[in-house]
Amino acid sequence: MLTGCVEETFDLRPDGLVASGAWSPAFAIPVGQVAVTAEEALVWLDSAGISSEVTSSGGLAIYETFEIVDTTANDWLSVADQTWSQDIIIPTDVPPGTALEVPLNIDFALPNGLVLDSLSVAFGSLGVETSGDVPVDLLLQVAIEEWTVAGVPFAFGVGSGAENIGLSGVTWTEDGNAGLGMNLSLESSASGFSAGDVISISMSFGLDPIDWVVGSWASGTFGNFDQALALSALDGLEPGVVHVSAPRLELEATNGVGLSIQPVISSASYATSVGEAVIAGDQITNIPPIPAATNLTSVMPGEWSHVLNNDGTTPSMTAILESSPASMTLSGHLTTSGTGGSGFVTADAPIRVVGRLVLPLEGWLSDYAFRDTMALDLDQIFSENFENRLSWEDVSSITLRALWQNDLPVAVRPELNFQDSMRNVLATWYEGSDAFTFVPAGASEVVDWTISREELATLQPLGIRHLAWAATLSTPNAVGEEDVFIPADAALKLRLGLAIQIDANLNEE
Amino acid sequence: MKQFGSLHPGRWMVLTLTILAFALKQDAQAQYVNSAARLTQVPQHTDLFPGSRPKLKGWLGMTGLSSLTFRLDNTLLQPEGLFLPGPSGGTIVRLAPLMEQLTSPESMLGASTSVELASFGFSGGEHGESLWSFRIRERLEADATLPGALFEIPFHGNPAGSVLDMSAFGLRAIHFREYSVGWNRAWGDFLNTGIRVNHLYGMEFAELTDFQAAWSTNATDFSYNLAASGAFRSSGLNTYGQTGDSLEHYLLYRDNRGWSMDAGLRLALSERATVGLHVVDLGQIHWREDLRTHELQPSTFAYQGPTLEGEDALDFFEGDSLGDWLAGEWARFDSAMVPVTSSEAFSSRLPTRLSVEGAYIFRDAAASQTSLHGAWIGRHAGGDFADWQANLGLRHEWDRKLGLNMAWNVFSAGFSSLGVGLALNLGMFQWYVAADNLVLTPWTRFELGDDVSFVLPNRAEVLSLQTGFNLVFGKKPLKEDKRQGPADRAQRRRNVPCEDFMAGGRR
Repeated sequence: MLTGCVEETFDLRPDGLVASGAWSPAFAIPVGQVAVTAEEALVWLDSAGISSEVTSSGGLAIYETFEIVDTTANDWLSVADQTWSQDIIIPTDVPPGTALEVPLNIDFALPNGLVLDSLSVAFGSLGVETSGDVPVDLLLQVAIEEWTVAGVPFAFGVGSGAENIGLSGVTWTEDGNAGLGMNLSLESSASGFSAGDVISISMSFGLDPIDWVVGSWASGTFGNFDQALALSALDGLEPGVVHVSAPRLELEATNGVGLSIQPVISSASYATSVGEAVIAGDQITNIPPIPAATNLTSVMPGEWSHVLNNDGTTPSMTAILESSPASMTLSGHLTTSGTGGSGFVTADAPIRVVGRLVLPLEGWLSDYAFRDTMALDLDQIFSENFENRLSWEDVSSITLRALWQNDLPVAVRPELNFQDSMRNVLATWYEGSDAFTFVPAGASEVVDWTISREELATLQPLGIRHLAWAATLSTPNAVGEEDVFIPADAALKLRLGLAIQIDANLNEE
Repeated sequence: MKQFGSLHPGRWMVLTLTILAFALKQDAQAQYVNSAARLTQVPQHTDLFPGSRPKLKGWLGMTGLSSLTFRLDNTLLQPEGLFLPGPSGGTIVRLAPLMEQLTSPESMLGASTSVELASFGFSGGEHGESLWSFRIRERLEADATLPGALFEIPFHGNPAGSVLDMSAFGLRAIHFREYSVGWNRAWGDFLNTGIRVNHLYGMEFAELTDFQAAWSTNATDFSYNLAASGAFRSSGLNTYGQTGDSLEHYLLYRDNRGWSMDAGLRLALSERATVGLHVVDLGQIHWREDLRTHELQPSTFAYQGPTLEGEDALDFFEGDSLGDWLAGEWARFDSAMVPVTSSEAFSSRLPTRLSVEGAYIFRDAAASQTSLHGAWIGRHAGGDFADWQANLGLRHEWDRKLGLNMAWNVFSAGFSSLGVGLALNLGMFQWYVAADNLVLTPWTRFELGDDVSFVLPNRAEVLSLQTGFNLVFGKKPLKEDKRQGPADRAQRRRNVPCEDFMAGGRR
């Protein structure tokens, strides 16, 4: 019955089914959001070796650390191996079983003009050898007056021939007399000694390594340094872009030696476009000594710092950095006081001097730019998402919207450009054609970049492969050199959205 | 794995209709074919107008065949104007009218059916002023309402600042049985009343209630905000394929019961004019068995795109980062939209229909009668009668052997339909059929393959059909009444209480 009423028949098989008419949907897509505090932004710079910290005032400072001196005073502990020998002529007959006492005083050389107070041997040894008219049953007993082991006077006995005595734990306490006082006792239980017998005794002293020495040394120079600071934070900046109002170079030292140490900067300079320029000033020439460590048994290192800042350098640190120098160089050495003072030196005691260039983010910026690039293959996006049913020609316009919320006291000028696979810039958009748009400090701003179908048609054959972005920062009244303070938690927030307007005429009817 | 193959036919029917309802957008004036309500010779015309009185003294419906109704509602998509012949034998789909139809604020698609399992009635009283009726009727109804906003997305997208409000989304499917007892009585010459009490036996039910959903796109930063709430509750749908639910239990012993009432009255204003007021389906079913309710409290999900962090932020769109992030966003969405599932009993009201109608006999010949009739029928759902239809038509009867009705229906959704009805009495045997748009509308054939095709009316928001067979008793030929003079009329007033008149015809 119904068949007879059928007016038309249409074939709905997919092969022959086409759509006709205009199709003009618009899609708005939130692409993503970024909220970057000043502190987080600086973390991005970690890859360049730049660290940051929150200052006590809640601001931010970036810093670079570098090593100036890292050494020990082990040279001052080293005592050269020394030997001593003497022939002992028996003055009278000595019956068997009777000991012959022989007191001796031997010289001992100490290094670096050391006037010894005391000394502790770690693993030394003492070699003893007898020769000459030595009876087979010789018993030689040796006692060294200045030496003790755990508070007990150091003494030992050996027979004929050669023997080695360990000196581990021997403490040498000087008693005011020159050299070592030594008592020898010779005895033979079987034959005794005859007058005129000659017994030769030799000793070799090996005191290294030494745990510690207490005494006084003559003045000496050590720890030479010649350090160039790379200044990565300023890398690539044109002079006048960044002005830091209160930079400083902090020198810090750790002294594990019980002697006062004097750092000496013999030369300070920075690299300019025309060569090295000298840095002078009281803070260069008048450097306080590094205090000595205290407490030999539980060493408390001496801590020290010295700051080079605008108050004591010529030119000022601000002026130096504003010139965007490639590097800054410090040369010099360390000396001991050398005035007869006493102190101590322990094994492997560190003597370390480091520098830290600190740039508190307070000042002004003029067109300081961050840049980065992300891969963006729009051809692929279209082919994958629309399965080739759409082409560039169906896109009426694409608008990339950036909603900036700038809580930083810094104006930001965003910039985007499309690049090809070789990173050549194909097109750049600002808001408007040629006007710079800054997002003022503390303001929100919507910035649209709209590219039309015609522009897309021009660009598409060029092969867009990357989207590069840059944020150029400038503080208010940078021209007037007005300083601003950047709180660590102040953020620059960005929300990105994409609006695609399709305008496709699928098929003409 | 559920074994749908083991389902009995009734469940297959429910399942099929439910799927159909979910796939289409429908709002049904379900199970009531308006054109049948004017076939006053037919006892089933009181389905919609219980205050009307059939022009007979008794009937016995043929079991299972006394009333079959089918109805499809479709305001979503009409083939008319959508297709053009393609240049090489294919078909062109015209986007503009397609978009216009699909993106209208609300469209309707629905399917329903009912069948009378048993029906009989007889007159009683000293003068036959009462008419008692009994009926068992199986009803299936499924409808869904899909907001046009759903179709906005592919056609118009989501431009900045847009709000796609999908709160009009609705789903409803119900399968129940009525056991009805009716009493129709004439009160003198000018008033007739009818009342029918229905005991309801529920078998399946599914409904989306209090649904609110909107997807908004921020005008400034293009971020999305999705807000949703509502509840989906069901009964009898969760034990499909479970052999423990026996057919006997399913057909007779489910614990889902309820009551409803149909009532109406018709008042004679003169010998030629009548007005009536009727209400049907005033009641509810209390669902207690095999329950499941998923309720989502007002929830929101804000989407602002990925958050880029760290020095590698701009590498986000490369490698696995995007996939990981999408998984995270889905988990966040999942945790933001968490429905609470419960198994508490609930009640569902039937969509009550209120009808106001009238008729006027403008031609009263010896063996025929012609009248003009009109009605307004409102469907009470969601708190008002915003869903309504009105019709105006002509009815003609020849010697009570043949009744013909034609009416033009106008619907609140903004469309119209042509309805026709035919009732034929051959002795005790009565056959009737009524339909909207089914016969007179032109159709379009769509071919899906060499041997696969289907047809749709070019433009028919409503397609309905009701037909059935009855054995009727006590019917008097129209001419027999006409032969009676005024004296006889007075006598007849006493003996035969205006049954014909109150049925909308002459007395």
